[in-house]
Amino acid sequence: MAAGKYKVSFVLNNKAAEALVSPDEVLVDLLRETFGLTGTKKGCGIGECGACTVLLDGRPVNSCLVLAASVDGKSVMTIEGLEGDSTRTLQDAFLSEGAVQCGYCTPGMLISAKALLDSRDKPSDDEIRKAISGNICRCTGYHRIVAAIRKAADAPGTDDEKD
Amino acid sequence: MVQDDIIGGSFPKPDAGAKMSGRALYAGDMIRPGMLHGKILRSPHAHARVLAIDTEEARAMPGVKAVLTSADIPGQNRIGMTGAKDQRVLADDKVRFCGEAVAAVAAETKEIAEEAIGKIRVTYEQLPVLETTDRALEPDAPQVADAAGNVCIHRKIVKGDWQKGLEEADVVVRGEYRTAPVEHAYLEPEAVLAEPARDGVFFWSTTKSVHLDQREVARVLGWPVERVNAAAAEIGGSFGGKSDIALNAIAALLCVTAGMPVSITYTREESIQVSTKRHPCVIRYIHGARKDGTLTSVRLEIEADSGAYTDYTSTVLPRMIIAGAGPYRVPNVLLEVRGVHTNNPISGAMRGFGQPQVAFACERQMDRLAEALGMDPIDLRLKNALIDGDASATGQVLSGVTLRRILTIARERIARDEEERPEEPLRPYEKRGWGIAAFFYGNGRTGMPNPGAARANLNRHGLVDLAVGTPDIGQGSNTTYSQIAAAAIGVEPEYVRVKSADTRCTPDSGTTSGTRNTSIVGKAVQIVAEKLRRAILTKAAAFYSFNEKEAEIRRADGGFAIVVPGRDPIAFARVATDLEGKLHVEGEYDPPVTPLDENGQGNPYAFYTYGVQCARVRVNAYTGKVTVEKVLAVYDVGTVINPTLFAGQIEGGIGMAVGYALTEEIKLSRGVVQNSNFDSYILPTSMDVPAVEIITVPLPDKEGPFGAKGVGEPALVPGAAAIANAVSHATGADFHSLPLTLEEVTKALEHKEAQQ
Repeated sequence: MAAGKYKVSFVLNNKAAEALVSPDEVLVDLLRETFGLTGTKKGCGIGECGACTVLLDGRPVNSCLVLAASVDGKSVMTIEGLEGDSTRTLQDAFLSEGAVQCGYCTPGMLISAKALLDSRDKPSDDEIRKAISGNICRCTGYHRIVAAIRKAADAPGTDDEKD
Repeated sequence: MVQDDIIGGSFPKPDAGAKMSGRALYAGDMIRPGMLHGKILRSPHAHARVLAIDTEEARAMPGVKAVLTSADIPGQNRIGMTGAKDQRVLADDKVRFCGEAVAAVAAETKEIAEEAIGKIRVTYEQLPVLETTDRALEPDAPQVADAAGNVCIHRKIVKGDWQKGLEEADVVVRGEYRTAPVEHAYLEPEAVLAEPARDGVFFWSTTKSVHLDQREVARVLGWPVERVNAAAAEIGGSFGGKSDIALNAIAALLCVTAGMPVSITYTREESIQVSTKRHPCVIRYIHGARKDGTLTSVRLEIEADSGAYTDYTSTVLPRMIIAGAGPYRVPNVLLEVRGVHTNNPISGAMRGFGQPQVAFACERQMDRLAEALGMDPIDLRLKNALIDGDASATGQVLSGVTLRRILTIARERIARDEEERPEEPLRPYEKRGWGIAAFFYGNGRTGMPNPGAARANLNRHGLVDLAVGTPDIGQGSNTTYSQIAAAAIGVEPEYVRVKSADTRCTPDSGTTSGTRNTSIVGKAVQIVAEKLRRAILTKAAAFYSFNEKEAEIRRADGGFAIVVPGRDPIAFARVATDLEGKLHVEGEYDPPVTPLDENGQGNPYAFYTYGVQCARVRVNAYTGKVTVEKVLAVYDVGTVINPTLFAGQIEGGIGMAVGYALTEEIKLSRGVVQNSNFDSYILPTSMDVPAVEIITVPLPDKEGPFGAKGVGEPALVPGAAAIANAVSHATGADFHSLPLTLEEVTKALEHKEAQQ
């Protein structure tokens, strides 16, 4: 083992993963630089913009605030790992509602939306707004994103991903 | 599918799929074998002479592959977004703003690059820091720029005699207004990847013009432009910003020096300190009107802080005064603006190009004038609104002016909203009010040639290849172009493949700025697509021997084809194969404009977008907290090409305006940004944006492609002005500064109470 590095074993996008990490390394850098998962974006580095949102054991977190060493034994889901019917429903809704402009916030938005829809069947618009309140979008003014999540939430359910 | 379904259809953006799956590659996502990491050493001082730079220790570090200072620049160390080439890539004589690049390193890892930067020793002689335009204009002020004096541009518009006009006025309203510097805050920080190319260098840029990048970087390298090429990576927002030419030049030079690919990505703090800002302004107005509300005179003086270098100041400022009298008929005006250098961050282009500042001050004046006259604010605007045949302040005789109609619709909708809105009682300390702001916005660059260019070709798959130089910065311009081309040719948008912003294979269509993509580049696309349609039909008629007049372009057998009565459809794929090399067309469109003369008279734009925004706000009088409940947007953008993209622009512009009105302000101390990340530079979240209602006036423009005009910047221009007017109506207090922070609102309320 390299000097000053820790070995972490975790589940990344439903597959077993291992890495050597520095004590000060954050999860977003581990994902982007070691695993090449550049779908997770880095917008501020201080947990304010939400572009780096991933699911950690099913809960949305800012991966720039999570120490890489702390994911040992946990499960991490990034935008690249989202799949299945409910994800497609969400993506279709983002497409048709025009929720994607520059796209830099989009992966984080989708992760936050996914976390919401996994936990709430029919969220209110207020709950949708709260769920994405940690994800900054500078392009859309949020309306089309809220409408897309609403549309996905109202779509006939397919519970393919309750894993 | 007929043309009507294409123009006006909400076709989804083809780039959205890759963006939603995480596969889209922004410049900072690109990885190359052997790629080096670049880091830039930046000045901690806003104004200092650079006496010596010692890079010896950094150069000796293992893993360091290139170290640069200004002495290593082979070409010209002078760059700029416009004709004024005054900015340094790397500081030579002085640093003029905090964060200016002084040296750069490329190394095998980010950590080594960071460490090497720390080992470069710079000896500075600190100079007095100019923090305000007031101080910069004093005769004994320190000198920032190379040219004498700190005024970098001075322009005026003179029409009639403003003093005589003021003598004819029954009511005169004066006001001084201040606006803060504002950050674009595109969510993707600046990044670049430069790679060695066969006979030069190639870079992936976050940009609004790869062709400008190419020319500027070539000058810095001292190379012919052909050896430098650039393409836009996926771009994570621009809003008038990006194209950090110094960054692109540094990456290219590091790459050429090391012979390896070099990647540089800014941190958010670096981006906010170093990137350009919306011009902070001091705006002084005098408005004169007769008792019946008729405007007789407008006098305007603006001092805009251009920061350390010229950048877009020379083109942003003329637009400020062109809009200086508002969208109103005023016989006598003197509208004047000075751009003043300081040691603050460079001011540049930001969504609205100077007009949001002017709209705020001008529309506050109109409301204050209405109050002084005892008139309804909408009546006052209706009384003075430009109509067909009126001359603007620059003397341009306008046609297709819809402002009166827009104002009338706005009044009806506000009344309806008041009637239909469920009763929401206010708490005793809360106030509610509406505010309105009107504007007009000329599409394109101001009073100068700015052609859009496009090329099209029918390829062997039977698809149309369309090439344009202007990058799609996320707003969806490529989708709009595909709709315009499809409608002109007679195919569907998915049969048009748009390639944009690559100097190797797209023409220079100018920058993605000034709301010129839909109206100007889109018009070039329409012209080229019509040419391609004619070329396909004419050349195929000769080749296959049919009567061109009987031929149609129609869907057939799963693709598009030439259909002639009495024979099998000739598939586009076959036409392209048989006529290989003969179906390339190109063309351009340059809007009919004239330069402004020394009195600011001329026809600066060929298209004007008109609009009004009305804001309903709730104000907490104890805390000063303003909640924007609803914004009503009434717009004339001519034909709407894509309603979903259009609404996305309006809603996004309103979201950005809420930030400009209420929270966003770059705080500076000795030129150093005090709030350089999103914990202290406060952007609107999903909880802060108002409900939005959009109404369009469907009047096709006589010049634009299929009657369309632009919306990108117009979406933002009136928002903060409408919100400020609403806060004033709700509280009865007067406001002269943006943003309307809690402190600003409570201060104004206390001032009002003290006066009573």
